[in-house]
Amino acid sequence: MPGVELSLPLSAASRLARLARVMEVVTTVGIALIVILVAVALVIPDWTRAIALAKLGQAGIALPITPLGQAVAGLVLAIPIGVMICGLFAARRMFSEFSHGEIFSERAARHLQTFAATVLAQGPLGPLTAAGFSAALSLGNPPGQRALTIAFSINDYFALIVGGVLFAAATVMREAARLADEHKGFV
Amino acid sequence: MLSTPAVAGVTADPLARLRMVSSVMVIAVIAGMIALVTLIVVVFLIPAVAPAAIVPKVMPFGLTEITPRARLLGFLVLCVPIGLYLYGLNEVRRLFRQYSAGEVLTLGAASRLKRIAWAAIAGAIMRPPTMRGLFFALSIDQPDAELRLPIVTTADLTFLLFGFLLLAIGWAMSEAVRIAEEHRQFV
Repeated sequence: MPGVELSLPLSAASRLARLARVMEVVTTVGIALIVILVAVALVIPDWTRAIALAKLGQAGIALPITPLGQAVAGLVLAIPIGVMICGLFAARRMFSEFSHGEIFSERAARHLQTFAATVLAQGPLGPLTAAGFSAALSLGNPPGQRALTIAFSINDYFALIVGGVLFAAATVMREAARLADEHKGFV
Repeated sequence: MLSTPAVAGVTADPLARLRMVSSVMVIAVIAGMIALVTLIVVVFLIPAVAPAAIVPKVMPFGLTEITPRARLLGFLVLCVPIGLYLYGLNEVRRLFRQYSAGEVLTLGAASRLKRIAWAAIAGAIMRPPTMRGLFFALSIDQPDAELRLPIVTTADLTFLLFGFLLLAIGWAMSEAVRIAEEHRQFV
C-alpha cells in the first residue's frame, strides 16, 4: 500500500517537538496546580465551601464544614482527582514521545487512549463524587439530618464528549501507527 | 487520504468498532445539543419552571430570588458561551459522522479536530468571566449578594489542557495526511 509514510518533514517535526516540549511543561505545571489547589481547598473552610457550592449548588450552602467532614471529603475527591492525574501523566508521556519525534507510534497512541479513558471516566465520576462529597460533609450534622445529594453538571456531559473525541483520535492514531509500521516492514 | 476501504485491504476493517461507536456518538451529541438548548430556554425563559429546575451551576450563587429582569439578563449573558458550545458540539457531531462514514485520516477530520480544540480553549477561557457576568446579571436586583464561587476551577484548567492536547493532535494529523496525500499523488 503506497503513500502511507507518516513521518513529518523536518520543519514540521521540529515545530511539533517544540510544542510538545511546551505541553510537557504545561501538563507538569497543571498536575502540580491541581494537586496543590485541591489540597489547599480541603484545608481552608471557605474554599471547601466553594467546592461544595460548585459541586452541589444550593444544597452546598447549608452543609457544615467540619475537620472530619473535610478529611472524608478529601478521600472522596481523591478518586476523580487521582484518575485525572493518572490521565495527565499519560498525556505527559505522550507529549514526551512527540518531542522525541514519535508521533504516529503505537506507544503515543496508547498513552492518548489512557488519557481519553480517564477523561471519559470523569463523566460518571462527577455525580458519584458529588454524592460522596455531600455525604462526607453532612457527617458534621447530627444523626437524622445527614443527607446524600446527587447533582449533575454540564461538565459531566462535556467530559463524555471530549473523552469520546480523544478516544476516537487515539484509535485513528493507533491505526495510522500500525499502517506506518506495516509500510516500513513492506519496504 | 486514508479511509477504511483502503485499510480493509490489509485486514478485515480494523476501524469497524470506531465506525460503530462514532454512529452512537453522533446521536449522543445531537441529544446533548437539543438538551442544552432546551435546558437553557426552560430555565431562563419559562419563569414557572425556573425556581425548581434551575441548574446547579446557576444557583450556587446563593441567590434567594431571581427576578424576570435578572433571568432575561442571565439568558443574554449565557448566549455567547452557549453559542460557542453548540459550535464545538456541531463540529464534534460532524467529526463523528465522518468517522462513521469511514473517513478517518483526512484533512477534513484533522481540521475539525483543530476547530474543536479552539472551541475547547475558548470555552475554558470564557468560563470564569461568564460565571462572573451571570452572577452580576442574576443578582442585579440584590445589590447585597456576594459571589462565593472560585474564579478558576480545576475543570477550567483541565478543559484548557484538553484543548491544547487536541490542537497538537489535530495539527500532527493534518501534517501526516498532507504527506500521505503527497506520496500517494507522487506514486
